[in-house]
Amino acid sequence: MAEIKVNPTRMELKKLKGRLATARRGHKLLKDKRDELMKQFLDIVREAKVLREQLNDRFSMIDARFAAAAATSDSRMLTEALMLPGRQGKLTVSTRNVMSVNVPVFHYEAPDAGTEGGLNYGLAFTSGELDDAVAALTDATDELIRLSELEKAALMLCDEIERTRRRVNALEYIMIPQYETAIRSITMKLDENERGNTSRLMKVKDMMLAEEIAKRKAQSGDADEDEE
Amino acid sequence: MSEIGIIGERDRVLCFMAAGFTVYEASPDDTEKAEKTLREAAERSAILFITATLAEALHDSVARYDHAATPAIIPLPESGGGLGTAAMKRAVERAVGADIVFRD
Repeated sequence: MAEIKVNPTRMELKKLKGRLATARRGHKLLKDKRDELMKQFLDIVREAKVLREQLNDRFSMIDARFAAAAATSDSRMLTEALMLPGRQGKLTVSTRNVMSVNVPVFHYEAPDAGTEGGLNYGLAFTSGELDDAVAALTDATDELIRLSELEKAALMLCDEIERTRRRVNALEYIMIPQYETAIRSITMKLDENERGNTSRLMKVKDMMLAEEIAKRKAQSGDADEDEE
Repeated sequence: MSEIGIIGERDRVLCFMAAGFTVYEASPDDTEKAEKTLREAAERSAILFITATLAEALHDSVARYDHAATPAIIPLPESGGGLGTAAMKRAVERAVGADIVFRD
């Protein structure tokens, strides 16, 4: 692991300790964020799963009806009947903030059912299966929109969870250990300097003492000579 | 850019026109043209449903839209319903590390 290269000074030590504290706090916050994201994500996915299973069943019915309609009526007639895009509902898109991920919210206003139950083709040339299929499809629209909302939110949250997890791991296994080693090495270096200083002082003191003793000895030697 | 679109093979998507969806025809056999249609449809729709066969053929192009809020490109539900469920299963695996929702 690459280590951070720093000067072993008290200033650097103080700076690093501050950064370590920030990293620890960020790590804790991101971990909480990840857990909450995961909870929301699983709720959404579970709901989407149930909804999709329901819709799968309904769509197999719709497909069957439509296939029957296509089989029983002339394909040109069918195309002509369906070609006219009527009954467009109004879709508004807003966003909802889920743990600082902006997921889309779709709001659909169904169009008013006009004459003939909202069908925009005449009943004369088409089969009853087609009416059924279109009616079932119209009924399913709200659920379809809800499903797209849920699945889109799930995909976006999934991205965010991955990103957050990578950040948590980077902090936990790279950043924090790096800071810790750097701080340890600075502390050791500073302690070593301190010890070096102490021993130097002791050495100097010894030298001064020895000098003093020698001086005193010399002085008392002089005094002896004077007495003689 | 707020309409509901559906893209896919003609005879699968035609009936959606009557329900008020904007229909884009694309065939999975001609991926180049289908991709162009997809881009055009994605620009105009907020929700874009896609048939399973086409989603499989245009897998990479569809994945490009996963990260943005709109359009939501959603595989159409159908009997058996492999693809939409598979997409969610993959998302769970990526997020959690193991599939804990769809295992049966």
